[in-house]
Amino acid sequence: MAKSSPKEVSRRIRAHCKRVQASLVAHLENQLTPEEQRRVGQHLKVCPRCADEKASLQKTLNLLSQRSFHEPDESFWMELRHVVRQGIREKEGVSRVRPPFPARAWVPAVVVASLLVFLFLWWSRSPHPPVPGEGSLLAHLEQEGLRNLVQLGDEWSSMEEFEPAETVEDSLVVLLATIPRPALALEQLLVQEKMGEDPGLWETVIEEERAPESALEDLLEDLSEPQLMELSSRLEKIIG
Amino acid sequence: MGVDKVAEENELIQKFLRGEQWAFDRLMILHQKKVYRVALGMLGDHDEAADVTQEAFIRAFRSLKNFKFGSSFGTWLHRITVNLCISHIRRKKFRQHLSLSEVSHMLRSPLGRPARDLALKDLGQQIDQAIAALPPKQRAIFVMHYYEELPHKEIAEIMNRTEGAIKSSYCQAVKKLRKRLLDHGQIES
Repeated sequence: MAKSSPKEVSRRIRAHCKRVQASLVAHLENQLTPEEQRRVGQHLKVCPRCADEKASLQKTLNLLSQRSFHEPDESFWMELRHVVRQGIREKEGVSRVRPPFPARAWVPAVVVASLLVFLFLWWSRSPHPPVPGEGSLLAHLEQEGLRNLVQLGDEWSSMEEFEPAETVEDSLVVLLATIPRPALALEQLLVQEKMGEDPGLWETVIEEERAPESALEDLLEDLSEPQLMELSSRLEKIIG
Repeated sequence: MGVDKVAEENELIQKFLRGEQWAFDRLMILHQKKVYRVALGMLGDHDEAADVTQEAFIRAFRSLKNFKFGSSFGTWLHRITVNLCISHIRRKKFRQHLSLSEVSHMLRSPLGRPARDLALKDLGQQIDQAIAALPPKQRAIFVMHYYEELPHKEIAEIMNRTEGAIKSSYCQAVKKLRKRLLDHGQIES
């Protein structure tokens, strides 16, 4: 049998270390199976780097346990239940009042309001360079045309909810909102090239992408900062 | 959660659905502390946690007629609580890490070393800030597993995600917290 090259051996050791380091938190909390606990324990005896990583994570978990929690006294709980009962009575009182206008009267009002918003956007376009994100939104609106004004109105109001991006994750969410079928673009990127250090994480992210209730924000939350920045730069290339 | 406890809760829900309102009071007493602790862990503020706890129970009261008994009442209630907390966090504007009074104190410091003043913040505040810096859903996962000791499987049910995703997210959260505490000198590199 041919001997493995030093390069191949080194690659296998690094891959093994990555797997062990990905399971260190679970190991520290005794969440692994007995066999997995034993294997990780054996690796830690011979790998100083992983042993250091374990010690560092252990210190973190010990530190976090020092967060103090002062349980409120009984009067707080009694007051809480009282406020809940009051809130329930108030809401039940409100729900018995008929709304002043029937629901169907709102639909044409929303359509007209969305049309006015769209016309205002066209009218207010100026020759100066667009604010980051605004040009993409206008291009997106042009692409969609006038087919579904109510949907466009919803998109506009959801874009307004975004505060100026504070983190890479925020700016990525805004970016993804400007391209059609962002979930598909994201999945294609993830499948084509596995970025980052934890392939298991990417598989989990892709698996989550297929769950119908998952929002993009759920997927992005699990990515580290370098992964987010990499994803952001790749998406910017797609959008151009 | 023990089988007896689930059976007791299901019986209370059935009684409530038959019109016995006192049964909901009993459910509140059984779960109020857990709900409050999760909200406090996620929001870091007593008043906000109290508001969310109240709102969670009000919503639970109004939706209990639609409870399907597929999961436990506690899991269902946790889901309402976590969703309320996440909505609350996302609605809030971005907070400065330092209050204005702290900034002006730093500027007046004769030693001119702001890092020293930061280091004097107590550990509890550092931990609170580190947890508050986690993304909302990751924060929920971390708080529920680490402080409330909920198993990953139950958290997966609460968050409507796979157990693998929850474990992965939890691991990421611990590493992010480590980095944050390292940056503030609470852990030696």
